[in-house]
Amino acid sequence: MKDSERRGTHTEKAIPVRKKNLQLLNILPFAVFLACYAFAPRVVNDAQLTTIIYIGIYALLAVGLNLLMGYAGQVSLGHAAFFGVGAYTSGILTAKPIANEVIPGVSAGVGVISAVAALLLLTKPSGWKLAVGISLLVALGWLHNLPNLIPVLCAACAVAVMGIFGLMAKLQWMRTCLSGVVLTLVANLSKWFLKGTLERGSASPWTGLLVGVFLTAVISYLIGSQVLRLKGHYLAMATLAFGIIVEIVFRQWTSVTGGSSDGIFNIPSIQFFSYIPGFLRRLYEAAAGGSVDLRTQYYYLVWAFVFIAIVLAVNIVRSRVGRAFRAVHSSEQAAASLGVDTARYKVQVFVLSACMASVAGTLHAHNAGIGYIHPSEFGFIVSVELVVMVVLGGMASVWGSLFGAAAIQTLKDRLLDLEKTNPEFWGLKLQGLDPIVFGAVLIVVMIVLPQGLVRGFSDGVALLWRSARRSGRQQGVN
Amino acid sequence: MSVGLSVDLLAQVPQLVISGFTRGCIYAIVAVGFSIIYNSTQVINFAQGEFVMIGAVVAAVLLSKTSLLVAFPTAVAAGCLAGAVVALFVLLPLKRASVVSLIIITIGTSIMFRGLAQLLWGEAAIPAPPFTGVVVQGYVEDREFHFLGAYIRAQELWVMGVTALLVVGMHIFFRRTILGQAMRACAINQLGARIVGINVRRMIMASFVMAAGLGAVAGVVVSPVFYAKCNMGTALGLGGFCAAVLGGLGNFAGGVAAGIILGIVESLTGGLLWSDYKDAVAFVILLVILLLRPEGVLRRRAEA
Repeated sequence: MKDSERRGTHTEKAIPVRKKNLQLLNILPFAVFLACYAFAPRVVNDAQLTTIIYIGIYALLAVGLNLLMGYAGQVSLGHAAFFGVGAYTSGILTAKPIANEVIPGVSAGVGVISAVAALLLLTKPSGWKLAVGISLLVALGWLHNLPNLIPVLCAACAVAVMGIFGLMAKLQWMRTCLSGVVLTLVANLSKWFLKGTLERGSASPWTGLLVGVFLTAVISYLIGSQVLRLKGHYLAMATLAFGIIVEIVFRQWTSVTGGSSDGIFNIPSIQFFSYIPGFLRRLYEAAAGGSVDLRTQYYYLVWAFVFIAIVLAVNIVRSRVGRAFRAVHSSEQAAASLGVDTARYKVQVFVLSACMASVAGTLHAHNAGIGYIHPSEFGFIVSVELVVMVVLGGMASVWGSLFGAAAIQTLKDRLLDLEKTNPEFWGLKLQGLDPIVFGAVLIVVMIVLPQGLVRGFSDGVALLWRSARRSGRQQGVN
Repeated sequence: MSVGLSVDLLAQVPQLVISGFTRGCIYAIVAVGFSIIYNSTQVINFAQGEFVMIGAVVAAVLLSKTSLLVAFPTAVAAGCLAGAVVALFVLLPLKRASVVSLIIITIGTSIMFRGLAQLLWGEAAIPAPPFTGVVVQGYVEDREFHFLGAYIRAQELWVMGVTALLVVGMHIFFRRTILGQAMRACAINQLGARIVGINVRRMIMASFVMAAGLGAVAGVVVSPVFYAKCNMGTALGLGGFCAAVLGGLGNFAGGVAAGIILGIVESLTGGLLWSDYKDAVAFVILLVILLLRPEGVLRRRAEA
């Protein structure tokens, strides 16, 4: 039983539907969604609003992960790492700016990873060329790190060295030069930016969001372009290892992340009302029925992002790119033989879903009223939870991931409520039930309904409907 | 990484090698477990590390109450039971399952075991008395031997001895017994094995139980060295997987050698260079190996 012989669980069935119906069916969920979005704060109480906010954050993560896992068929067991990168970048910039003595190192590091990403993107080196290129860039980054060198000299040095390397390694030398330029530019920009942030004390959460997305995109490109060459179990293990490494960095890099004992606290909440025009603000106030406080505003923001993510995902899935993803999922060889650039598509969807996770992370960090992040929120178990959400809602189902996120978050709340009553079972204190329940959910769903609850259910209904119609037609004939 | 390798750091090298060797033995056994299951099903069992955890935790709990003669078989039986459970979950949908769903199923069982252990015995580390210790003021203390500038504990000798025994035992089992040969036949060609009358499902079950039993034995012997904790499984499982890949999946001897090398390298880098990040060393090595030589380093090219 080889990997290639096992077919993907996802099969596309062409059901002829009249076009008008299809359009209505497509728009209906969005309309319901928007109505719920606008009027939810009127009906729910405070605790429920909190749950809904968390559902939103996890839905954002699950929709992104579903694009990767459900549509492109690439397992990621380290998705919480990107969630964490977003959260930590934004948290650090707004609440705990990087100390002066760490700035050169961090900015050089950011410069180096951006430059390596640029080198990979532009020239696609492999083998020893890649190794030499990376080590050269690391050495040049170390040069930028030194305090007493003139920036212009550094820049010239970087460009010259990379150009010579390009000539020697028979890569396009203009492009390798460009990676040297990227190194200098990003390193100096981030140094200037970090110093400015330190002087002002904090950056705006929105800056944090953008920087987080940039960093995540670079890191996920670096990781994705290498790791996605692997398949099946190897890919799963590699992403798992990556996720754990990132969690360890969050725990141990105390000078920047606060480590596992402190975490980052006093993160300001994110708000958008001062940025939008007055009539929109009044619209929101009308919908919420009265003035909009910080928490409600936060709710609106989170779910606005969820809405954007869903629209984006639905559109991607229905586009040419989406068809390419599904082709990669069904059979990578077949897709490649038909001219689909499988490697490129896989990396693209990886970066996209990582960026979505990063946005979710920023939102999570700026949670109104909490404003606290800790490494344990971005660990292996969170990655598994995300997988549970995707699996439960159904792989390759955008709305399904929303359902999965809602179901798992509600389940988590229920378990927490249950644990507060200190239940006992045969003299055993039932505490920390989450892993057992989630593990059981994973196994049962995978064995009984590998398509997920939503899809499994809708498939069942469709089957019943079709068989009913068929029997009806047969009666008509007789 | 401008860490001056000062004299007292260098003096630690023998000690680090010894502790790395011990850890490497566990990786080796886990790697053999991965290979056994991979050979029979082409499945990577993500719950492999949890078998070690179950063995270690059950043994640690029992060792403080009863003797080794009771604790050892009970812990191994618990591990085998866990293996049978995983096999059941994997076997049920095996025919129509994709690789992704098999991965997810084994991960599900893995976190379920971890959660169960946490529920039953708590999150704290459970200390276990060494097998052959001396009672000093009410506590059981391990014997220590001085060897080439390092202290080596009796329990570490136990770990190495048991590993050697298991590896030799495995070799004999797969070469000399009917059951072992039947399992090898399944690994080579399932259809062929079925034609000559081997019950493939039973062989798959046997391979899971065996891999789990091996893991549990490793857990039992190692529980006095590391503290038995319910979250120790992930790291050991990943390390074992790293060793299995290094040695070439399905290649027992390669896995054992790679496991021991990995343990020593991890211990040395962790101890000498990045002590803050010593937990990450194995994962970094795993990533590098997966990216550079996914077909394994110790495996001959022709085989791969």
